[in-house]
Amino acid sequence: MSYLNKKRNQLIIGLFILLFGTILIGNMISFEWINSITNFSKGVSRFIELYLPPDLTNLNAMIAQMGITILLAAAGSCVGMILGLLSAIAISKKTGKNKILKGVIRFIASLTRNIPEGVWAIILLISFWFGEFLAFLVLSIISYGFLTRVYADAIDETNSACIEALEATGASYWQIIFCAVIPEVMPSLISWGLYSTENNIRSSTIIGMLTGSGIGYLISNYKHFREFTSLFTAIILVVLVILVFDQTSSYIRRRIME
Amino acid sequence: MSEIQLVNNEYRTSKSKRYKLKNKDFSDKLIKIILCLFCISLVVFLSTTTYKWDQFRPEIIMNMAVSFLRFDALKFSEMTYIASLLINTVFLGVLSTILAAVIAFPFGLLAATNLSSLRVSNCIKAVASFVRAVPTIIWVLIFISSYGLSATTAVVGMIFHGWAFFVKSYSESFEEVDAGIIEALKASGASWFQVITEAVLPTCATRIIAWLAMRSEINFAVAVVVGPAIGVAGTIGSVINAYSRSGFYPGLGFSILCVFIVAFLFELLINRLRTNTID
Amino acid sequence: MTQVLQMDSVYKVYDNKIKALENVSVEVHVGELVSIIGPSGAGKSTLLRTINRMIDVTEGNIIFNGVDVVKANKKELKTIRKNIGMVFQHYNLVYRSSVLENVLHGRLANYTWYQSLFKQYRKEDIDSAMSILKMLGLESRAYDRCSKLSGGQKQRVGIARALVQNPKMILCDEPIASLDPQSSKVIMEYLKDIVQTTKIPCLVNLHQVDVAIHYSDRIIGMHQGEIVFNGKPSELTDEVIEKIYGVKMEELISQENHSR
Repeated sequence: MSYLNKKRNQLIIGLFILLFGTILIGNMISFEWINSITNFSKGVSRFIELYLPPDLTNLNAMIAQMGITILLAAAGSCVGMILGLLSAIAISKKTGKNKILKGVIRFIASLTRNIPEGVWAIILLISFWFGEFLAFLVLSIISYGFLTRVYADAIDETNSACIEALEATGASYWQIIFCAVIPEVMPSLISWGLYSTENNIRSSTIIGMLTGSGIGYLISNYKHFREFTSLFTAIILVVLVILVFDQTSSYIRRRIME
Repeated sequence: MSEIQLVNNEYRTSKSKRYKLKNKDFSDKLIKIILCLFCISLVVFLSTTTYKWDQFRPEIIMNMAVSFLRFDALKFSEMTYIASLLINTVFLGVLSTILAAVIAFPFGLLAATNLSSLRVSNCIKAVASFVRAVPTIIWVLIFISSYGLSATTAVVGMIFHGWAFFVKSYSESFEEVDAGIIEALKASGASWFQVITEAVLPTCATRIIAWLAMRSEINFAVAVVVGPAIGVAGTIGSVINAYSRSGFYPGLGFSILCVFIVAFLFELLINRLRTNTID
Repeated sequence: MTQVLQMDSVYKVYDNKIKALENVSVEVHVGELVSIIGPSGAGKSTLLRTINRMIDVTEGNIIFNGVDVVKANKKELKTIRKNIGMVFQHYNLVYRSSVLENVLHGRLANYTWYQSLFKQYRKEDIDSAMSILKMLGLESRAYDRCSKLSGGQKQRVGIARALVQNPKMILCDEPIASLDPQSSKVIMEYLKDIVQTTKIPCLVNLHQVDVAIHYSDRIIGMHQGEIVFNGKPSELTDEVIEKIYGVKMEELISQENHSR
């Protein structure tokens, strides 16, 4: 039984460390533990008071901006898909040839992926100024970083036997890519492309706030001018779009994986 | 080849000039449609948006590139200030992740179809998918009215989205637990609680840790932008914003490098944890 | 009989110092079905892949159709590969493409990359692909996706892809190892037929000694990278099999029965 006792003691000590660590971290960043709980109900009632009922007067403008946001998200993913596929072909274990190119692309992809979208928006804002084009650039950059990685994984995971077979028939490198690799990974290309579009729609709220475009711009405006009822309508619109997009893309994913 | 006689069929399809090679089924058509939609959206966007190129300032980019990594222009006190903000940001992400993970745990159990009733599971999953559809930054925005522009707001807002994330990922990994193990324990007279502590938790532990790391990374990214986007001070994003507006590029470069290194370390950690779970 | 392939004292040592081929010399003539038998790891697959230089040899000469394979440059290598059809154990098809597209992959070496991107195959190639499919009894499945076919049908597509190249020689790497006995029989009958009617020589890796004896004109036995037997099936005595596999004939058969 001593073994079990030891294990239990370790578990209890571990949980205590976790608990104290959490409290310590909370205090370091001045998180108000008690306030967050006691004020919660007050916060909810204030939320209802401020945000409800939703104001529908600006709905048309919102829908137009939402359309722009969706267009931006899809266009950004499209750029990400094209460049990401090319980069993935260059860095995948199965299709990558040039070691220097591999290293360079890995580094660029890691840079684009690991710097948060908001930071990209801030950096590029200085030289590109506000507007849709900046949002498009930022969305393309983050889609590229994400898609390069998942596409490279997808190519690594596909059955590579057909590459060998085509090589044996004397097909050239690009013929193997076009006739064997791309058809095999096509479903994952589409599926991840849709996923990145969904992500882009989510991020477009943040990016919109920072770059002044799409629905995020409206949201930050409403917040700034304290028009909370309109703000609420805009939020509902975003949520609806994301839910519908999520359902549609999961349906499409199921059908194309057949 | 003596046996082989050339067949003289007409393969040309009526629509295009190419020969028919394939029976296009629904999934092929769907793939084609979606690819077209992506391309159309790119073309439509590029043709309708008029970017005024006189707004574009390449000299700023050049200036930035030159002075981006000039860390010698940075005072030591500034460096420590940036580092402390970075630590703050990481802590903000980690704290909200831990709290969300703890709060979501019971809900995750109730949402797993093999541990709870179908109705309860569906209800919780529906609520979670709704909560998840609201972007994290919006949750933070909503709680400004109750807690003001403080770290508390950011944490509570991130907890909400994280809660939904964890409910989904917990229930998915719980549902993957081998039904045979649960059945064996139940047959030996174990209670619902014992099934969870003895069978479900040990099999899912590594994966839960991987989810924690993943969510911490996401929350870190949100914590970075919470400052410039909606004005919650005290994270590294505010200082990035301030430096970029004032044009102090060495400081900007250093703080972005800090963010990159942290995110990169998170990615390495997640990859390590993932390969562990596969083995 | 004209000689198609001439391998002279070929050596292959892998990076991890494993000797895969040691002093291997093989000749293949027109109209011959030659089987290579031997235990796993004897170097059969390596031998096959050195012929179209999917694997580079360490030492030795390989002359295929009058061209030196070992010293061939990129363009010559392409011609060599164009003239050698290859059939694989796991079929190695693009499963999301149709049967016809997979067969046409055999003719890719005659197209430029943009023609293959837009799938602009010539009519004569499609005609010959269709007639080969007809010969192999797959005409009705030509436009179907390859993932829908059974194992034996997939292997027939693999053979069709090799045949559409108009090859001077066909290499088969364990063509029946993943098939059930009935489909194996069909595939071997087709290979035998092809060799007899078209006189294209065929080099086949096999696991099953009985199949090799039944179908081949000549058998090569390999053991640990060396050729220990090269002769007619009738000359393959029990002692020789023992030498190839390192175990007695009876044990070998009982092992095979176990594994089935």
